[in-house]
Amino acid sequence: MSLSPSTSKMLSLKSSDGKVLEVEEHVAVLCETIKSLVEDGCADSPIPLANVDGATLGNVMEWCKKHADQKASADDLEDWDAEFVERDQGELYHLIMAANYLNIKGLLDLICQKVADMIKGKHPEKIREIFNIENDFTPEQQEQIRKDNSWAFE
Amino acid sequence: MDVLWLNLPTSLWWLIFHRLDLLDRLRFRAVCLLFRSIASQTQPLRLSPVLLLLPPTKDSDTGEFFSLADHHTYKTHLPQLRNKWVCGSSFGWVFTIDFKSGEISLLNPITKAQISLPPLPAFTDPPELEGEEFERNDVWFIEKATISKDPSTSSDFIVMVIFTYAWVLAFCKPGDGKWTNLKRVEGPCEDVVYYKDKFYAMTNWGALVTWDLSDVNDPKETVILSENEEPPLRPYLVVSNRGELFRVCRNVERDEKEEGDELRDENYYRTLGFVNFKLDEENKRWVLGCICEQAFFVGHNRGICMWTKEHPEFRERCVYFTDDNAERYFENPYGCNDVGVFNLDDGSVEKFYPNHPFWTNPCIWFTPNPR
Repeated sequence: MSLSPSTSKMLSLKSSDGKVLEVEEHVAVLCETIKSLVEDGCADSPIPLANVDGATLGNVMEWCKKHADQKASADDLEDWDAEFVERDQGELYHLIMAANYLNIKGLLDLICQKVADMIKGKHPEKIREIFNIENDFTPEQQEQIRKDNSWAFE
Repeated sequence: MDVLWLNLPTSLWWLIFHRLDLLDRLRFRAVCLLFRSIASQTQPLRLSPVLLLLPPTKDSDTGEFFSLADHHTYKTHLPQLRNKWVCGSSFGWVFTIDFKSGEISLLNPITKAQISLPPLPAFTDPPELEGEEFERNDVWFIEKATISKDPSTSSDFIVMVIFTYAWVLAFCKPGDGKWTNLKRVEGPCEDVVYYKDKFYAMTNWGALVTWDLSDVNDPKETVILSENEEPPLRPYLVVSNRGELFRVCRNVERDEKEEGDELRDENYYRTLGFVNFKLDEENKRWVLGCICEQAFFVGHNRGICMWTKEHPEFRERCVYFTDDNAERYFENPYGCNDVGVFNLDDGSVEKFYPNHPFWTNPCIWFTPNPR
């Protein structure tokens, strides 16, 4: 089946909160999950995406549209991606979940890298604070971890 | 929008974890139980406070550290070490020379920070060279380098090097355009260390001199001990955790070629042991010194001392040594192989890194510094 832009038709995608988005097929198939449905001829109209809300789906398709544009240069995409991930934590969380569910490797890599960059160079307390994670170690475990690599926590 | 990041599937945290480097992995591991279990899936992640920086593989961007805590070799992306010669380490910073350009830098292999120093061509020939021939861009021009203070915490530090050929000293400060030679008064310098606000330099015939560089335009040399008749063992200066200055003397034997042993030739050598003396400052003499509850680490590095009670992976009253026999290791058919741990109690020498590969360049101890 040809998925080139010239022959691309429109697909309807339905988000978990009932919003319907019309997307060109060659853009939507950047999501491996949707691509499989299309290839298997199982693409209902609209395709229900139970794990992605409307706002996130809009963001995801914005990314797919940019990356489906064959005129975009690698440098251009890099700059664009850097701007794309400048978002609040909630949006990032929903994007990474959506990229995982829709199986979009490029987007998943991008957000994972962004989250890794948020961790880099920070002490455990700061990482807990950023991601709102509770310290669930017992004092003994805490002490053992400190001992194992004491120099790293100076 | 409040989200619960801990609800992220473990497989995604795993992808994120894999994008972190060593230091960040150690810290990630200390966040919560889930993160600890993710971090423990690949490797034990116990890096000793003294690590062995393995010789960089030619044309590789990977740095490798061997940790005595778990006898594991950790790999990290370290392109800064590509095609570099490493001949010093102090406070977690290694002294590197680029094989091709002769550029010199201090590199923190953990944070990957770098500090540029004047390159090889910024040295002037010391008069002690006496017309000896050497290549200006030869990285082996420098035997060893040491730093006065941790560059992570102060920019007011001095880098001191020993020239391989003449065994004299030269120094620079960050921002200097050139290296300044120090005129040799006593014999060939074997080791130098910053201690009590001065550089202490040791010759292989037992002389000990200090250089006061508080005014770098007017270095002041003081002879503490003159040359004497002591046997020429290879000396290292190590500041102990009790604040004492030790002279750690390495006894290296050169074996005769044995029949049937084709590999062994006149370039073969091995360390038999060490004798430790500490400086009696008042009486200006060396006395036999005890390193109870401590372990020493010597080689091309600034001598390191570790408490063994705090770090049980290190053995008490032991000297961990690497091969720094720059005059011979390139001819040695075993490579830079003279590494091991000497036990002062029973005089034994053991390998701490069994079945290591053939090292054409030396490995070096460093104390990982996260700052």
